[in-house]
Amino acid sequence: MKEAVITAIETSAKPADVAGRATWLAGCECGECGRKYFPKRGFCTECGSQHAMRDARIEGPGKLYSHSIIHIAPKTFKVPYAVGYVDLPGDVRVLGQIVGWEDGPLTQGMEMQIGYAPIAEEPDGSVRESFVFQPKR
Amino acid sequence: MNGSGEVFVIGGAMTPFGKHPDVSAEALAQTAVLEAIEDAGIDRRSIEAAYVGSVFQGSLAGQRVLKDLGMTGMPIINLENACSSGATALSQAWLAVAAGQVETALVIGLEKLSSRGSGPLALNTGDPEIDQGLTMPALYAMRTRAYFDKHGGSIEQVAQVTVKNRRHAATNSYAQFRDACTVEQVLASRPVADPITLLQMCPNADGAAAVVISAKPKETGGQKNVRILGSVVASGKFAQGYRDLTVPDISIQAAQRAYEMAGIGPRDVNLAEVHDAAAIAEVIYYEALGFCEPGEGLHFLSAGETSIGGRVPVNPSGGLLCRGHPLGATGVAQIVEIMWHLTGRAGDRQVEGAKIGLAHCTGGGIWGVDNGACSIHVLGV
Ligand SMILES: [Zn+2]
Repeated sequence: MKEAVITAIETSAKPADVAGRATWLAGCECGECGRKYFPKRGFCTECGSQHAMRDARIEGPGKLYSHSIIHIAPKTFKVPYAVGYVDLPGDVRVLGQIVGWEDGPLTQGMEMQIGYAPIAEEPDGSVRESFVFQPKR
Repeated sequence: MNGSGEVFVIGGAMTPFGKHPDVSAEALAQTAVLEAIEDAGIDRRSIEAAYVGSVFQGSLAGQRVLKDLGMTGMPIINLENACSSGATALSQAWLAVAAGQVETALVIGLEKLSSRGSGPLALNTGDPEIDQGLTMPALYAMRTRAYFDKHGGSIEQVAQVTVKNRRHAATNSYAQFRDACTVEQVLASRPVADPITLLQMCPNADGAAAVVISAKPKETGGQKNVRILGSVVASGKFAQGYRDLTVPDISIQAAQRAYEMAGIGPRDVNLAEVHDAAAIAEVIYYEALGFCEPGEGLHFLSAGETSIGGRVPVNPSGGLLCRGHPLGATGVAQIVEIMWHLTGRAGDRQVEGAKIGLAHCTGGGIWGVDNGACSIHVLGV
């Protein structure tokens, strides 16, 4: 008889899971079909493999797809701030805050580097740090 | 068993949408239910099942509404599907009637948002994009920019959606915002998420709507019977990779299935109520629903094709932008609006001679999918 176990389909919801504060994101890659993901997950939504995921670096720079400057947001975020979708090599799109947006216009296709910065203040006063994107000007 | 497959919308009603801080969600819904039953001209005891859509109304919303009307004992099914909750409830009710499980069913959509405070609704935490600071208006803002980058256009053109819908809502006493406005006013309103300003986003609201559907046509004195020709619910496909924010695959897929089920094409639609949660969304949905070619949406709008009197009037009620968006109620209110047009009861905003109407709801922002849930209904006389 098969042992009764709960098989959790884990996804790493914490995007602050950034190894190093380097220029890459700690993602994963399916050993069966090659699909890359960020954040990390255990189950491959493309091919259905459950035990084939291995850690992979999602490298920058990427290209800005679209962005917005946010003026109304939950209190944890200090307005105004910019967010954008960045298309990283290997068909991985990631949403992140954009630092340095005040220094010039943001345009589609612009090269974006991966960085690391505070992005929000938690209700308990602690600072939320995360990967961010920065235009390569 | 009935099971002829034919399902009629025999009655419907809605409350005015707006801020009703002193009225409970249950009372709003009860108002809509009693009026819908009266409109259907039936005894409330002939209703054999109720399908109830809401998002934030808690457990057993339908039972709380119906017990005080003495309408319990029957199956009451409560459904949550974000902005498509009410429309999903209708789709499930339609299935029960079409399959012959019941002859007559009640559909309710209700939501009271004013008690949740002002500002954008708090979205789910634990979502990686929301943890980064994404807001719903910012997502629509990124769709707006992506649209301009792909097809060209200006924010002045997009603001025309609000201007048109305000014009439509002028005589709709169920809508929250009925004052005329100009492009300049839309763009000068408070910045929310650049390039989106406050008047490009739908307001929160309290409200309820109800319809009665039946396998038995309404006994009318010559009035037309409204039939449900197509009823579809779809979920968004999860994808990690690059995607085109101007191509809402969930709405396109749902529309194709709805047209196929109804045996019609987009050119046969005489009016549509679509999910204009943001001004840009309406433009993108013209294209997704096939009313015009991809990239033609802004031109289609400015040519007046989606105004009352145009080729396919879109949101003759004023849409979400003017009516407001009490999440669970919206999908059912769209059906009531279309029923009024198809039976010649829409008053000053009547789309003359309308024979086929389409209702489109979509929403629910979760990471990795275009939208969580979309529902499309095609009604005809
Ligand atoms: Zn795989």
